[in-house]
Amino acid sequence: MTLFGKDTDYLEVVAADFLPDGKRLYILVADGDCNLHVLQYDPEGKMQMACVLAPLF
Amino acid sequence: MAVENINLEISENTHERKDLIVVGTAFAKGEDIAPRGCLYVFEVIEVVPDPEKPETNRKLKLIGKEPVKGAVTALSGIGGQGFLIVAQGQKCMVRGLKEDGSLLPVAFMDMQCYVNVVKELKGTGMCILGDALKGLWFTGYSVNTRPLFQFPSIAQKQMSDNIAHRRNHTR
Repeated sequence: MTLFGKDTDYLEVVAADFLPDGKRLYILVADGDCNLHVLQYDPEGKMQMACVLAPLF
Repeated sequence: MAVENINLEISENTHERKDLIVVGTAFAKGEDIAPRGCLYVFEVIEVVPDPEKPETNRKLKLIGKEPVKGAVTALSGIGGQGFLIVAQGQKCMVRGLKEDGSLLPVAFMDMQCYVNVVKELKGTGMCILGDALKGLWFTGYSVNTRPLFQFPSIAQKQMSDNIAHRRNHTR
């Protein structure tokens, strides 16, 4: 197995799934603090956090 | 701790595929005893139903069982060869079902604490492994090493496409 990327900050992953959009690949992550993170796979660097959505509660 | 319907290759000779129910269990008996787990592979078969209950015409038939070290916490199918990926203890293993019912490991990756999410981008061999405490891994599995090295080049091509796309938009 090969590691392609890892998130930059240690998230407490509760649920995660792929979010492919055309030729781009995003990953949607729900963390333990009720945040939704949208990560983008960027093969030139590390996995980057594209944006952090506001806490749900 | 995990149940999944996975399209597995049931024979390495005929390469026949079947939709099977894979179950992962865990025995955690406190911190002094290392957790163990077991993988069960079931097939859904049709049987003669109870005459009064015609809906009872299906049964789970055990076709494979594999005791493993560590708790089985997540499961997913992976790649185009009908393999499955199993999060067992601090490892993630790619396994293939053999005709004798055992699940032969073919690849593995070391993880950190507790992998509670294993999801594959259908049929690509690329998967995300989510740890409950230590973050997210984006990994890939492929049988030959050759396509393995093609992944970054595909990614680079996509990247250059993206850059070209962005350039066109800024103009």
